[in-house]
Amino acid sequence: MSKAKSNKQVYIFAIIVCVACSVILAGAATLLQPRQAVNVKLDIVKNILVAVGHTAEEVNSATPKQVFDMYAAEFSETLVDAENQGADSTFMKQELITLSYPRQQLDDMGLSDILRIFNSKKELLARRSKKSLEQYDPGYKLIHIWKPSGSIEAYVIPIEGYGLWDIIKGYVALEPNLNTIKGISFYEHKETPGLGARITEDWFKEQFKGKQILEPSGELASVTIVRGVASDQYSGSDLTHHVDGISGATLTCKGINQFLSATLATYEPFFATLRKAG
Amino acid sequence: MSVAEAVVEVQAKAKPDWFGKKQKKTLTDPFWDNNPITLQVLGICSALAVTSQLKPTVVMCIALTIVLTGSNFVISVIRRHIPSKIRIIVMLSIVSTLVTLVDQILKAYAFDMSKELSVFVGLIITNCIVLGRAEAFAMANKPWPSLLDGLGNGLGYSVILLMVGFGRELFGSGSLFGFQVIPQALYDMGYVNVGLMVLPPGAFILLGLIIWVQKQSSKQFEE
Amino acid sequence: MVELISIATKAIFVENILLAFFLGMCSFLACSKKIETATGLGLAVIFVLGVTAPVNWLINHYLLRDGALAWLGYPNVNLSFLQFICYIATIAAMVQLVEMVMDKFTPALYQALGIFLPLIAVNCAILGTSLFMGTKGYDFTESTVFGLSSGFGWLLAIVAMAAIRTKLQYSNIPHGLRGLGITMLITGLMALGFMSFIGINL
Repeated sequence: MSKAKSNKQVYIFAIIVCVACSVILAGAATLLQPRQAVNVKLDIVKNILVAVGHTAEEVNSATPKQVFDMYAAEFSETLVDAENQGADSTFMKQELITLSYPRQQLDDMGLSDILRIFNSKKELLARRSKKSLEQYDPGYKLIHIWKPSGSIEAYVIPIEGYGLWDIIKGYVALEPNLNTIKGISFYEHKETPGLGARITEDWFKEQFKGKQILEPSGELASVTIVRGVASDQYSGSDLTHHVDGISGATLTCKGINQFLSATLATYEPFFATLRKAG
Repeated sequence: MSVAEAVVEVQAKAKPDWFGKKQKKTLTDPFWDNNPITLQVLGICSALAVTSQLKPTVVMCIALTIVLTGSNFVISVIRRHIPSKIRIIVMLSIVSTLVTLVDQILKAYAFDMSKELSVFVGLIITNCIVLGRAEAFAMANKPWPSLLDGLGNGLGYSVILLMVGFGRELFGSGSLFGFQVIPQALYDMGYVNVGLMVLPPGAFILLGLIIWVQKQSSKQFEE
Repeated sequence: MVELISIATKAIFVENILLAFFLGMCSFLACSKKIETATGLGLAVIFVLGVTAPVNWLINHYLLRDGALAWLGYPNVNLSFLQFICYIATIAAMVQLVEMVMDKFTPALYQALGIFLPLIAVNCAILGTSLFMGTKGYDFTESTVFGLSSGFGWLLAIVAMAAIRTKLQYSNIPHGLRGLGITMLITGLMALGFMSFIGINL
């Protein structure tokens, strides 16, 4: 190995290593960043498409452009605020421009992209305006409306919450009656492979189809994953609110039950007005 | 213990020929006779968590082999210039640069895989094999043997990891690479998947058994 | 407060960094032959984790993550690709510090730990904790508690293992299984035991 070096040499060497490493990394990050961003977005869009009933094979065999085009052709996006009033992106754009995002770039983006950026900067913006996050947060909720041929055939809402290990994210699609589930999909999860991770398997997601989130009285009941087989434990209209569980993944299921019903509850007032409007 | 052992078997001078006997030995020894995992006790850490299915296992093996080969080579090239006072931190910087590169590339070109491996790609940095081989071999050898040593150890690591992944997915989920291989007829007769295998303890037990078989076959006993 | 206790319990028992996530295995296997060495190393790990978790949290929060540089006037800069390298640098520096302190005050322990003291730097448990606290979205206090209790969980596992291995000297184990083999099997059984904690919510 080398002879003892003087301190000066040590410093020079350290600086050279630092600079070399950071230049390489910064270069790679800048080069690959656009591709990574597309991947993240593609993953989300694919899941929305799967939730309304496109098959996974169909979505995965399509090129990214085809997937985005499919989404753009079949979906429109609506935003509601905490009071369930319709909202647009004006406020978000204003706020993001104060963070020196170029207006042109924001104008080119879709609602969901702006909301994603806005949500990631919410904490920062709240601190800027000297409000707590709860006070500042406009509580925007995004709804993807599926209109494959002109008329509305499904409403898709994002769901998100803790499973056993970490956050699970997914989408639920509801029929136009806003009661029957059309489909469900999960992405981004870190559940145990072979146990909790089976939530992404088809048989599990399939059983949500046709289940109802409302009691006959109109109360919100959500859909609950039971331990074991649902049809052994429930019958009649109760069975429409329950699905079979995954053995060995009780806690993952418990997590999903919690965040699914919590998310549906926050959307419920808005859905109620939609149902009334017919 | 492990690193000290590894230092002993370092060959100080490599012959100038590129594919001589010695080079071949450097490359193939770690596959079985001097396996980094089972005999040098290096790199067991982060790896086992991803072996419950074969697909992430393969990606992990490829990522680690690339990082290990690369880091051994780079460190060996600049080994004469690294001041010994700060050598650990310099090695770690080089390793983590390589790992971050791999991570970024996975995110851009194999998004599904990078999602599956999540933080475990980052943990390659602290995989003891990488630093262990850098310290034990690359710091004392020329670039070419170091590269071979890195490649050999990466592949040796992959051999064991794939064995564990194979066993865990086959017995734990009845499938290989996600395809069902245990026929439905067997399940109808009452066969059930071994739930233990997909859980962490299954990996330890399987690895323990692999080590047993290996030590029996190579007759390297510990007291 | 209840949340902090919940985080601590989870990190020590339910999600024990060693037995549930396989992190920190190398030094665990190599340094668990004697209880004294195991305890010494465990304490060193707790210390390093207790310092690096909050420090890395600060680095991530005020330098690296998306929008972290807002206090400098760059709200759109995202340096998170430098995460690994910054975390590991902090850890390596801390380990160097522990090494110097130990050399001065507990030279016997310093000798006993030997090569494995610098190897704490590559103890996956330490980097793993820093990365996990990021994905879990903890705040500053929570991260500190999480770091300390992860370290404590690691100490618990290694001391338990050392105790078992001391007793193991008296048992007649098949030749090929002696040493690493049987240690792996025992680790598996211990992990099985720790798994019974899963599902405890506080």
